[in-house]
Amino acid sequence: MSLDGPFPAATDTAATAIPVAAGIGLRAAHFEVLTQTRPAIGWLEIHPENYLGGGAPLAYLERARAHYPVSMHGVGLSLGSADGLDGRHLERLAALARRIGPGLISEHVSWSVHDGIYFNDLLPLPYTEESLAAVCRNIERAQEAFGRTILVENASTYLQFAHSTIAEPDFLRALAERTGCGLLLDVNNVYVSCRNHGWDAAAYLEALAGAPVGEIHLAGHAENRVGDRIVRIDDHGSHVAPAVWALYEAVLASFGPVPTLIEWDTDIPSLEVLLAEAGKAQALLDWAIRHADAA
Amino acid sequence: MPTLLEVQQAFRDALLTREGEAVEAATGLIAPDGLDASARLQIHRNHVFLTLGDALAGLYPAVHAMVGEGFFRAAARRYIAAQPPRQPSLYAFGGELAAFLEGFEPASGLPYLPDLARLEWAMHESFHARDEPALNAADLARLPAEALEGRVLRLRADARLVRSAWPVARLWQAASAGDGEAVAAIDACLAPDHLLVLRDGLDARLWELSAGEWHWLAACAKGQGLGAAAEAGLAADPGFDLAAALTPNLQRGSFAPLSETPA
Repeated sequence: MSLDGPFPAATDTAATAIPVAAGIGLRAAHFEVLTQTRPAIGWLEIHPENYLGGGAPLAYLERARAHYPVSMHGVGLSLGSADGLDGRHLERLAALARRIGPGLISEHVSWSVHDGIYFNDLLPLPYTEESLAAVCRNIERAQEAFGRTILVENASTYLQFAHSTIAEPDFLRALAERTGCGLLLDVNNVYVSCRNHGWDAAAYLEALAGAPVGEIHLAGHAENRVGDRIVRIDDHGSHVAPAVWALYEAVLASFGPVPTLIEWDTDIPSLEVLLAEAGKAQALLDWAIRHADAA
Repeated sequence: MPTLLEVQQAFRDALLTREGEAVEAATGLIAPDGLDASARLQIHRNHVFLTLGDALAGLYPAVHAMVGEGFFRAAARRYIAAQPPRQPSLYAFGGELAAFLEGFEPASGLPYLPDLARLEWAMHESFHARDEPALNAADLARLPAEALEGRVLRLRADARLVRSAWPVARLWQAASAGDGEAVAAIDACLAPDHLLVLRDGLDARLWELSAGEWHWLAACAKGQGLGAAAEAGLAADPGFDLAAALTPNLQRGSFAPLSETPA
């Protein structure tokens, strides 16, 4: 297929570090207004899969990259795949990273590819020693391809496997310890998974104390009725919920100030609304930075 | 204890089908936790079909407008189950929708629908194609006249040729504008369209060509020399004139630079 061609070669771009500040996701709906108005925002995060074809999307990305540090947050690498990573896809991601110089590279602790089929969903993993070894293998292979450590993110989950033997935060901590990767702590996902499974969010954070959290995600979620239960779904389609802001404050208090992204991927609002949401995160970050300086 | 591979195999099958052994195997892995395991699995199945359906609707806005939300979603569900994404990036997903629609019985009353899908996929491919400069007219003019006959002019990476027995350009414009009356008015007539999709700046743009110009460009795209390609143009349209056809195509940038085409 014609979209399958080699990724265009270009000169490498040196990485620009992601500042300890609030950032927003770069979405096609905002390409024009963002590159024209260049609002004061600390950094941008991209889904690299949207730019692997090159063409017009990559041209927009490079315009934005000229003015902002960029973080590369993958959704399709499938770190949890038992049959390993797609080497060709990984090589294309690494080529994109060389070209745009992201300050951070991250992926999810989940799987989305099996047997060559891509499900476009962050599917849950059984938390077992076998899964842990498989995800570690895949993280190590990715870190080798990128030539640097990556961050891995806790996914929202809607089901648990009967044969899981490891608690989720312990699983995350073990990934970091065994591979040297950092963690991307998605506070909304912590909230969603804890509410869906009746876990204690404070205990979840306590189990991660001291873990290398290099980035935080905040997003909105939906509350769906399934049977007689409310299931919280991580749909990135609204404002960050008050309970998630409260949990974010607790995270900043225990992990210190960390680059924080507002994710809003469905029902995408105007850039103004998105920037206002990032402003709320920035205010809390500023507080955490003052607090850290005073300590 | 099931292996990770067994878990993923069970989910793979259970996500793409709604019932049967595969679903039982997957739900059997899920911890009982106050909610039916199949309802938990359904959350993921919904996500897969909804987001991939959204991707198709975004790719095929005119087809979507033409058939309406309900019809489109039903067709998308069948398509996704039959042709799930094979690459972990969605820009490469959905290219077989035209072929699928040709065999999709409920759409048989809209014979132009597959061609409309073909046109929208061509525009999508053009949008995502790599950037390439256009052939400079002065470079072409510097070639000795005797070299032109056998010279191969390659089309630019973002150029796509689409041909239809139906007036798909007007159908696309009417459906994109949500103009149902205009769509209905076009519906009755059968008039062939010869189209070129080319990126203008960062947007894919549609050009309507004569039959001769289209067949000439199609022959160029196949790697035929200018002389042989012009004959293909003439065969399709006795009024085809190579010099007259070159000018607009050099202006709009249909060709890749000479340095990148074999001599």
